[in-house]
Amino acid sequence: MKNQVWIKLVGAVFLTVLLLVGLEKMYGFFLMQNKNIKSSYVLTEKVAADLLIHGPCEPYWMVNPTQIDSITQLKSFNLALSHSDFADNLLHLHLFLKNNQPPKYLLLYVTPESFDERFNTFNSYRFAHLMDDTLVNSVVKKMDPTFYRWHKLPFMRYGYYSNFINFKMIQGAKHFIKQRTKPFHPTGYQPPTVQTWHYQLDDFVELYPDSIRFDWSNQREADLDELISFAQGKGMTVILYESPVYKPTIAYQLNRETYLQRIRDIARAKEVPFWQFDDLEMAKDPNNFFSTLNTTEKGSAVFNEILAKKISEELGF
Amino acid sequence: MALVSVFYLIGLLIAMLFFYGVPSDYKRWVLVFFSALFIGLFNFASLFLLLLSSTITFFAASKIRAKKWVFWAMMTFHIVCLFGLKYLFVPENSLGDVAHFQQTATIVFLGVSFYTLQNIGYLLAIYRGQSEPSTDFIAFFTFHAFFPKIASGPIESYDVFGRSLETIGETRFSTANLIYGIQRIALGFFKKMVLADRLAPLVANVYGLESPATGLTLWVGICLFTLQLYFDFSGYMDIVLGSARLFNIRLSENFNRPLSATSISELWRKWHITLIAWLTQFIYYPIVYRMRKHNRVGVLFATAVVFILSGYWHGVGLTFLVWAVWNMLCLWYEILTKKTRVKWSKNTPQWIYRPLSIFITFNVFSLGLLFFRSASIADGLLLLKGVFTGAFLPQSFLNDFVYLLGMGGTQEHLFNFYSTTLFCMGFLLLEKNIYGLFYSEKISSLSLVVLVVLICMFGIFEAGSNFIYLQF
Repeated sequence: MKNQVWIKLVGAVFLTVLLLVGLEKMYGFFLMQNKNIKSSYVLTEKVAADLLIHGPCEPYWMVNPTQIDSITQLKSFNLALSHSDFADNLLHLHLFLKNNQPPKYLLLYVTPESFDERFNTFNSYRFAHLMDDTLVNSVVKKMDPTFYRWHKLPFMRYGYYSNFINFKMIQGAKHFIKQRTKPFHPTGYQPPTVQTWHYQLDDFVELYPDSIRFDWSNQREADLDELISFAQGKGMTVILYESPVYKPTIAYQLNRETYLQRIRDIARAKEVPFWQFDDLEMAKDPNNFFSTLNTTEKGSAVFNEILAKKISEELGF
Repeated sequence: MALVSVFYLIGLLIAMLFFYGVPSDYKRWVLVFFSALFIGLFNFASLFLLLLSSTITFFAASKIRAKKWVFWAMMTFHIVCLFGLKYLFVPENSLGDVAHFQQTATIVFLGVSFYTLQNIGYLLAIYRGQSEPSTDFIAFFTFHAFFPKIASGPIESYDVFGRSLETIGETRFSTANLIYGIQRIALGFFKKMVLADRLAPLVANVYGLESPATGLTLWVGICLFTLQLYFDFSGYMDIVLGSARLFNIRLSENFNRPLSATSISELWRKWHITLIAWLTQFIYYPIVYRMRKHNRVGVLFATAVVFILSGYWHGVGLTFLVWAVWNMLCLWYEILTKKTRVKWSKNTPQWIYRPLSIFITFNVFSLGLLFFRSASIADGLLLLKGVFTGAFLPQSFLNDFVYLLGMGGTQEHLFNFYSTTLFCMGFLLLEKNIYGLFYSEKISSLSLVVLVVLICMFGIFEAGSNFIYLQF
C-alpha cells in the first residue's frame, strides 16, 4: 500500500515533467508560427528592406513605411516595438539579420527618455522562444537574471511571463493552421489606438508635478553604443533621429538640452547623424499628440511626410 | 523569505530531512533552528521581539495567579506590543493602504499581531484557571515561532498546539502526512499564484481610482477584492497547514468555504475562524456573561466590542473602523431579525432562498471590504459614488464592462481577463470537490499533475505580490 503511494507520487512527478517538456516544445513551435510576433516573423519570412525603422513605441506608432516609401521610393520596414530599450532593439536587429539581407539604412529613434531607465525596458518575454540563440541568451542573462535562472527549468521560459505568452501561443497555433505568412500589420507599423489626450499640458503636469529631470543610465549608453557598432559592422548606415516633442511640455523637462547635447556627442563619436525635428509647427498643435512624445494618426501623417522628405534630401533619393 | 518561493520549498524540504533524520530529542531543536532562521531572514528585530515576548510570558505565567500585578503588567506589555509597536515604525500615510504598506513601513515586526493574541489568550486561560502554565520553554517558543505560521497565523491555543509540541520528539515519518502536505501546499500555490495574483492588477486598477468604470462594472471591480483577499489568505493558510502537516503538526483551519455563507454571521464563522474564535472566547463570551441580565443588549454590545477591536487589530486607519462598524451593523440586523429570517427561509423554496442569500451576503460583505481596501474614507466614498453615477447597467458588454475591468481592449487583454474569470468562477463552483481531492491523505496524482501544470502555465511568477495579511 505504502509502495503504491510512492509509485503514484513518483509517477506524478514524472508525468508533470513530461507534460512540461511537451508544452515547452509546443509553445516554442507555435510562438515561432505567430506572424504578429516581430522576431518570429523576421526569422520565418523574408523581409526585403532598404530602410529599417527601429526603436520603442514612438517609431512603432508613428513612422508608417507605406507613406515613407511613397515619397522616397525606398522599401522600408518598421522593426520598432513598444516599451523597448536599446538592448531589446539590438536583439531584434540581430534576429532580423539572421534571416534577411542587411538593409542599407537603420533609422533609430533616440530621445533623452531613451537614456532614463524609468522609461521603456528590456522585455524578456519577447525572447522566451529564442533562448537557444547565443546572443539572445547572453543579453537576456545580463538584462533579466531572474528570468534567466527560471528559464532553465522545463517550460518556465514560457511560464515565467505567462500573461504575455499564452495568448500569443494560441494565436501562433491559429496562424499555423491558417498558414498565415504576413502579420496583421505587414509593414510593422501599428497606427496608434489612442487618438486623444484630453487635458494635454494639464495631464503632463499632473504626471510630473515637480517637472521632470532625466537620469542618465550608463548601461543604456553602452547598449546604444553596442547597437550602433553592431549595425555598422553589418555595413548599415545608422541615422539617429528624434521625432517632434509636444512643444509646451519641453519647458517642464529641466535637463533636456543637456541630454540632447550628450546624444549629439555620442552621434559625433560614432560618426552618425542625429536628426532633430524641434522647430516644426506641428509640435504646437495639441491635436497632433496623445502624449508628450506620441502623435495621433493625424500627427503621424504630417510627420511622416516631413521625415520622408528629409530622408530624400539627406540620402539623395 | 516569501512563502510562495522556491527558496521556501527548498528550506521546507531541508527542514523536513533534518527533522526526520535526527534523533527524537533533537527534533524540537530542528524546528526552533529553522523557525529562528526564517524569522531572522525577514529581520532581526522580529526575532528579538518574539524572543523577548515569549521569554517574559513564559516566566511570568506561573506567577500571575499569585500576583495580580504581574498579570496586569503582562497584559500592558502585550497590548503595547499589539497596538504600539505594530504602528510605531509605520509612516502615518500608509495606514489603511494595503498595497503600499510593505514599501513604506520602516520596521515590520513579523507576526506580532498573531503571537501577541496567542500570548494574551495563554495568560488569560491560566489566570482564569482554565489552563496550566507551560513548563517547556522550547515548546512554548516554537508554539509562537513555528516558521510556516509565524507571519499570519492561524492563532492557536497553547493547550491544543503547544502541548502537542511537548511530545514532538515522538513523531515518526508518515506517507499520509507527506501526501496531505504536498497536495495542500500545491493548492495554496494555485490559489495564490493563479487566482489571487491574477486578480491583483485588476483590483489595484479599480482601487487606485484609475479605472473609468462606473455603475455595475465598478461594483464588480470592487467585489473582485473580496475574491482576491479570500484566495490570497486561504491560499496562504493552505501552504501553512500543508507545511505543518509535513512535521505531523495539525494546525487549526482558518477558512471553511466562507463565500458560500448565507448570512454575515455564518460568513464570520467561516472566515478567519481562529481570530473570531479568539475574540469570541476572550472578549465576546465574558461580556455576554457579565451582561446576561440585559438579554439582547449584552449580545449587541459584545458584538460591537468584538468588531471594533477586530477593526483596530487590522489597522488604526479610519477605513478599518468603517469596515468594522459595517460588519457590526450587519450582525446587529441579523440578531434583531433572526425570527423573521427563519420564517422567510421556511416559507421560501430553498433553490431560491439559498442562492439569493449567498448573493446578498457576498455583496454586503464586499461593501464592507470596499473600505477595508481603500486608501482613505474619501477614496472609498468616491468609489461608492461611482457605482451610482450614470447608467447602472453597461450599454455594451465589451466596451463598458470587459475592456474596463480587463484593463484594455486587445485580444491579449481579453484572453487574460476571461481566463482569470474562468479560473475564479470555476474554482468557486467546484470548491467543495477540489477540497475533497486536495485536503486528503489519499493521493490524487492526476489532479496534482493538472494543478502543477496549471500553476506553471497561468501562475504569476514575475510580479507576485506579498500575502495581504502579512501586514497585519
